[in-house]
Amino acid sequence: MVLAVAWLACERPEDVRVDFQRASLQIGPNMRAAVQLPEVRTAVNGLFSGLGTDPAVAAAATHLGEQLRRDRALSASLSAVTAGAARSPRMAHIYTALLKEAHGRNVGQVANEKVQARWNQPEVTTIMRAEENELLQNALAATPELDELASLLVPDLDALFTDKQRLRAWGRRLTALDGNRPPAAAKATELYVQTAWAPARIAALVAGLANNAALRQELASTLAAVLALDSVSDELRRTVAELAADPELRSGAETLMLDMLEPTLDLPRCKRSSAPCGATRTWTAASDSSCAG
Amino acid sequence: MDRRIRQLVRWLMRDPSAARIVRYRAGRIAADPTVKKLFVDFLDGW
Repeated sequence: MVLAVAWLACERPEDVRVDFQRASLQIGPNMRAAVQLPEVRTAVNGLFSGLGTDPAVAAAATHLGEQLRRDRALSASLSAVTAGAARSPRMAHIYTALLKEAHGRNVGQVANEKVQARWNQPEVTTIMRAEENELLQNALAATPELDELASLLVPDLDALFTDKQRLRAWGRRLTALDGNRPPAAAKATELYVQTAWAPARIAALVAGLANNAALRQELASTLAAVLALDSVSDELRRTVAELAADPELRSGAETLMLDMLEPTLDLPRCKRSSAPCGATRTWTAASDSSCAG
Repeated sequence: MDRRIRQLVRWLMRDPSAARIVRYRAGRIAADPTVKKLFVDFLDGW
């Protein structure tokens, strides 16, 4: 968008004029269409996944996680999630199975190990990363402050968009696209948006940036440095505390915890199917009567 | 949750220490010739 504004606002050959207002309205939908394309999603997922596994980012995140774990108020909120899961009727089966496997060890510790092991399995990490990435992408797409960041990334816009040779080439291209006649403003705008800002071209740019090694390295360094700031850990602590207190999120976390444990245990089988008792999210105490035990 | 993450991103962009780091790194990205080439190809390659 910043690029379009700069180009459309600058001086161009008199014979080819573009209506900025109209173009900016048309570019928005093209950008939204572009970010939905599979190549963009794959590239951005790869970018986020790469950041998560970068050694400097991982070290900073681990340090931050330790700080968060030491926070008493936060521990209390997170313990409430575990306590909620422990009260669930599904937990009765799980607890019995855990007890059988614990052989005298702490049941909570055994449960923790099982969740950790399951968490790292590819079928779980793939789903979780896709969910996290989608959440992040949606949140970032709706954050106007990111326009500031975009202008930092292309600081020499003026030089790029006032290069006379380039402007003449664009004018010639628009003229060629309109049957070798200099198009009127409305037509030039339409041609420019359709061609230069086609969703496939935007997607190629975004994917190219997301896959760029230099950009990835700088983003990882940025993230590691930002995570190490005290002011950031304070703000993250407030964010996590607020999220942990959200009843809907808490309920989701409890369900997730139980869903993660169930496949790792030898639970009693239902008479009507091979699924373990309590294996579905809609399990109720009433359905327990159909279990073989 | 989306709302809270957006708030967090906004906060990050306004926090002076975080903003300084972001500006510095953004400058390095902008100066990288491979990144510049992506933008120039996008501008000229239609």
